[in-house]
Amino acid sequence: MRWFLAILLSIAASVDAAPATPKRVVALAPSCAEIAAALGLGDAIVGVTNYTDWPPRTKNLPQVGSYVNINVEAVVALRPDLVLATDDGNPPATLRRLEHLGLRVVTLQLRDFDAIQQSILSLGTMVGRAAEGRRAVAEMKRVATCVSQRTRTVARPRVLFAYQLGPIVSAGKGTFTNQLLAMVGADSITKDVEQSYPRLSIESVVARAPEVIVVSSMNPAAEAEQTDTWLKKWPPMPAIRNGRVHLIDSTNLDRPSQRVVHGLVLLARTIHPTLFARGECAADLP
Amino acid sequence: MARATGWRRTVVTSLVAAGALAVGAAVSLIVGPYAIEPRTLLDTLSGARPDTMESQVIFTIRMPRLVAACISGWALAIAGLVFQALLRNPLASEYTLGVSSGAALGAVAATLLGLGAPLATPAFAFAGAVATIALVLLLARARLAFETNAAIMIGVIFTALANAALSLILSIVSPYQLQAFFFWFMGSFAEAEWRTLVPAAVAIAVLSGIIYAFSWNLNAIAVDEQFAAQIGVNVEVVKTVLLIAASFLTAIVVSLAGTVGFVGLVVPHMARLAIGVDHRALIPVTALFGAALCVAADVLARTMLAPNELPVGVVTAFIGVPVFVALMRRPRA
Repeated sequence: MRWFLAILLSIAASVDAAPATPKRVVALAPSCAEIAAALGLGDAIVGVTNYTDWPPRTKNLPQVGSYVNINVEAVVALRPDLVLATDDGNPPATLRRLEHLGLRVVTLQLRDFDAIQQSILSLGTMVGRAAEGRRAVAEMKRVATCVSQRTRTVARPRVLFAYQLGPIVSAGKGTFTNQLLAMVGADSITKDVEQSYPRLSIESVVARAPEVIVVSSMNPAAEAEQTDTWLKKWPPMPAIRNGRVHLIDSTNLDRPSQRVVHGLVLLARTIHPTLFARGECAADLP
Repeated sequence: MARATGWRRTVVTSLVAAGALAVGAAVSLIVGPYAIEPRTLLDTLSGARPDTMESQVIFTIRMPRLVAACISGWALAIAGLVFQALLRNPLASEYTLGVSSGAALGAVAATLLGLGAPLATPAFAFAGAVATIALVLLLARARLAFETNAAIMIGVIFTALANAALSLILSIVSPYQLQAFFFWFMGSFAEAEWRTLVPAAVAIAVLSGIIYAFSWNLNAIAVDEQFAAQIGVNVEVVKTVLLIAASFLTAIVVSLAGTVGFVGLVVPHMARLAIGVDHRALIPVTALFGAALCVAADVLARTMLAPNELPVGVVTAFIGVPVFVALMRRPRA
């Protein structure tokens, strides 16, 4: 009888008390795994998508496909009690199938800087890690304010941000990348281009005469020479004449999590080297 | 008398095609996001303003594109004409025979293998094109004595296979490489540079000359191979030489600009409708039409969604398919 009461009580407790912390999390994008880590759920992650490398232990975890092409069966096989998805790339049809299979899917809104903060806060509350969420968001706000204050009074150079050269693929109006560029005091030459990821003609870039060219790359060291050769084929733009072509590591730029502030500082330092020469505004986040 | 009107028709058609090409070329030099006044353009072209930004834009961006479009259209149209005549099949073209896909597959393979040498990609595209036409014709020959429909069937099937292979590659490469591979799928003249254009133009001129030298033999073979043999054409030799020449033309274009579809399929039909079936006139007229079409398509590709650039193969497909349908609907005379 006492035994029976104990079970009854523990059931009541689990319904009533603070939200249960997930034990088995599958992250459907690298950014989702990073956000889970910010909330102290890094050790609960059991499955990830390709290219996920943060927190470091995720590099050795089972992969369930790429974030745009998810293997539903692989997700189910990992028996997750929480599936973290993103509205920025995960196919909605796949997420619906996962829900129909009885999985708890939480879709994070990660399309801009404010949305990321909101998503971290609400997920934190949902999984009983509200304090961790608030701490991460506070640090994001601090870094963003620090960067924008330092760059507020200086001239805004015209910047071409490219994901790739030959053909040039850039970020158009309304993209997260263009928001980051605005935050670090850059005048993006593609901020008025309607397409999200336009394939620009070299002539339109020459006509907009960028003063700084930033190429985001998964492997900056290996691509430096190639980039240089390709750019030298074309009429000399101010950025090339002044040696202002920079390859930067895309890792913390194209993943909308709290860690994007590392990318923000990197971008700020790349565009305004003198303003951030001594590690100003560096983010205090793992 | 009939012959005289035939020649007049050829001359008029050639002038129309050359005029269209000239207009297209002028527009492609004038139009672009970097604003250049027509006057400045003329001064620059006459060499009066060296070392200005305008001259850099014209001589390193617009001019190479124009030349690339011109020689590519020229080469693809002649290649299509030769394939159609030799196989006596209106559906034959470098695209339907799988030659373009084979060349694209070769180019992508070179990139994937990380071959950085400057000529590795064109060389692989070339090898892919030649290997494909050899394979397709070999398989077609094995089935009946060169049944021409078999060549097209095998070509279409091979294209499907090559596209599947390309899709496979695209699904495993990093998203950052996707756009670059897209270039080989749908074509672009944006990367043209003099270093590769000059040898390509010379090779295309030589191959065009060789093909033109056989234009009379082509006339005979296009009617019937037995007839051609009876009047003294060495059918096997002529066919082999011309098939190799047409494959080389295709491979050169793919290595310059990726696969630009429908030019080789549609342009020869347009030219035949305009001036008839004599290859001595058809070869130059087809070449001019092809060049004009590619130049026009490139102008559209870079202006329609500017500053965003479209693959030129998208434009040639949107022009080529309706034209082809319209031609097919015409009742035979």
